[in-house]
Amino acid sequence: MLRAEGLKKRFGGQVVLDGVDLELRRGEVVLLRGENGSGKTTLLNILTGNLEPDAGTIRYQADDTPRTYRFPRHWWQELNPFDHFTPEFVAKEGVCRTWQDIRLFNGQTLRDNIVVAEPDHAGERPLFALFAQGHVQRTEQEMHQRADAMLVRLGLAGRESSSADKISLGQAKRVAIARAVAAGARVLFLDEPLAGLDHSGVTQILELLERLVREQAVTLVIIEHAFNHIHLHGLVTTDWLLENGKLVPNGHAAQRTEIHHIYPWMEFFIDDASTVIDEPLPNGARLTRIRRSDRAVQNEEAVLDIRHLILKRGSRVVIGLDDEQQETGFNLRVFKGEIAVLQAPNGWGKSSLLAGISGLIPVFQGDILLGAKPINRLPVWGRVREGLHLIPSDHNVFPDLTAQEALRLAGQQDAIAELGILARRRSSELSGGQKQRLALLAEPNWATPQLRMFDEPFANLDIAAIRAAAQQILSQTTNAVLIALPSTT
Amino acid sequence: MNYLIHLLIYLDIYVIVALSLNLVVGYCGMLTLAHAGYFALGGYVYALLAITLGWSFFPALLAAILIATIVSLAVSLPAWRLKGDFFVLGSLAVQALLFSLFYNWFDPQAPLGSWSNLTNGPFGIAGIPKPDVLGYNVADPISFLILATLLTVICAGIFWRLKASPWGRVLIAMREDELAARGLGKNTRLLKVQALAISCGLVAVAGALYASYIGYLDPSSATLNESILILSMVLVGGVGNFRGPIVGAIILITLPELLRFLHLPDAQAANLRLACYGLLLVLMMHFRPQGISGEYRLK
Repeated sequence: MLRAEGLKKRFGGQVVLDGVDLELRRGEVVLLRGENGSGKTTLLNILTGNLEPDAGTIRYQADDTPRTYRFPRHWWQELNPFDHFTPEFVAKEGVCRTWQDIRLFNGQTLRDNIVVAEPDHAGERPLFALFAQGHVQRTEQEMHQRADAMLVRLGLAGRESSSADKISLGQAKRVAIARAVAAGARVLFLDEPLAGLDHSGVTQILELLERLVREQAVTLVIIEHAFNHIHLHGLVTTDWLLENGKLVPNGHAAQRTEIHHIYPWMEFFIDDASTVIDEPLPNGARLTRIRRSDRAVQNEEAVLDIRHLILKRGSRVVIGLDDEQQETGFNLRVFKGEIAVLQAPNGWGKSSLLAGISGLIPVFQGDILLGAKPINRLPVWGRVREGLHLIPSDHNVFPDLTAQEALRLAGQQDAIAELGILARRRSSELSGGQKQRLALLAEPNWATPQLRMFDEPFANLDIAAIRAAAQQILSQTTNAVLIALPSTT
Repeated sequence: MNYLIHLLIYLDIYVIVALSLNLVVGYCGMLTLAHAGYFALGGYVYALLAITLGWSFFPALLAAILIATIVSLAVSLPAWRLKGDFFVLGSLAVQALLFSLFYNWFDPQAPLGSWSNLTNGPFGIAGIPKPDVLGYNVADPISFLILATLLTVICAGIFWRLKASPWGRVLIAMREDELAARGLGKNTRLLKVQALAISCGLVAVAGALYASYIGYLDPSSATLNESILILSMVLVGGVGNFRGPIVGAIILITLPELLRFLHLPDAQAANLRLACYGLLLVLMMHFRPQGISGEYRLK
């Protein structure tokens, strides 16, 4: 289906891919592994036409007419409008991808999101659209039926006309995969398809992928967070490890074993003398209070006290509904010395809650007290000055600053050495995991905060990086920590 | 009565202009400042062919559409690479280029329509004939209103059919996320060329109507101010649907007319009108960024 030889890519002075050879066969399911910054996303971008390699050959043969691209390409090849190495040309060869941040067309319905992907639609030519409406409408009807049937298979019956931004994360990921299949994908690259999903979301995605392989013999290449490798165990047929710019087929046996014996991330926070208290929260969420022996305090003193909070996005209540869906308001207290871990299903409103606490979205009703002081009326920067810090899950770095500039800005000069050669690179050039690491290191250091909040701090990190991130969070001086994560059970 | 007919003709012309711009701004998400240039281009082509070659209305109109469509490549080809603010600047450059062509393609010694005097420069082209349709000279205001309304209905019909078609759907997909659309095999470069060609072709119709109605055309029709006025119509009314630009055209055409009733001196009225446009835009951007009845909020 696809063969690549001698792929090389370097950014600045750093070699990311150093002669990668690979071959994909029909119906194969590949798990592409590698540490943060090893070049997984770069390889995916190259094979899907989003990035040109410096050297090498890529041969696409998903259909009867194979197509070969040799790199570096000559400038005159760019003049030929039918011979570009771009995502649209690669997609026409049956090679598509999904994105970590999903990228559905939010202004369109679910049905349109799938129908728009169908290739070679006559109605996409303006003259046909104007003068051959009968033909176009007939084709449209057939495509609508196919899209509706696909939505039924995805468990989204009756949601055909829902806007794409009104569905949960898990549903959006399934629609994104279905959209790529509708575009004619014979080889599908999946960038973290399970990231951020709760248990049921993971199960549904896996069922969809299994069906694609079984019924349509689609070839899958999956990049996935280390914690989710265990879910892919039954599906994956080939294991690739990207290491020092080279692709090692079958990976390392030792590492494969380790994958199946990962401790949950919470273990990194608990020491032998920790007290762990689990509390249920409305709508399937759970709060786990970890009280470590080294952070023990005499009296229970609330650092964060949320009372009867209601947050809205537009007219929709996102925080404040109880299990009977009544607007009773949300209550939460985080005490001094605690690491509070909020685990909630996708779509529960974790990010909205953290945004509401930090002042990024207005509070509709209720009170937020930080160290017994009401902060509802304070602007975002006022809350930061009061000692409330938030590390969001995305947009957490300044893309145009180098890593060392970002660290200096945060007053964390000492951390520059920790990043090594990465310190001189712009944040936008870092891999997903490296960005997250930088975000954790570059937390403002000008005052001792009362409460540090982290929205999915372990997304994109490999196991070693998660351990390091947990240690980083533990080493920071603070009165309390609140971590929001998707449910895993 | 004649005043009302005059107002309705203007409204017809600017409804075409606003709808055509909406195709680019509202459906492609590309904010262009070159539209007044193409509006004037349509008018100039019509005027030159009607005066110098004696062409009747529809052949000259078709030629205006064709030339505007071809010249639209000046905006659509840079749009392959330029995004966001850089595209706005690129379109501004095309606007300046078109204006300077209309202003400077002039030689007082040469007759109008010759290679060295194509536009008559700052003096403009006077005596543009009224439309001659199938041997009937559309000279009186009511006949012209009927012709203008007919052309507006045709242009609106084209816009309506395109926006509701699979082609319109791909444009929206491109507007929402160009990279994702490309990843599904959609040739967004071709889409941009098509959308800008159709948009410029439609605005050339409005330009030809305007030139034939007023009977005079000079480079002031292609100024940046005109482009901003057209853009204001679309932004105030709202982009990304059918009714938004029409609402915007109605508001921005009738607003200056209402100011007439204040009986202000001309110099003050002109400034007040500009101030009103500015205030309206600022208020809209602050309180209702998607426009009065728009669906899409320009990023």
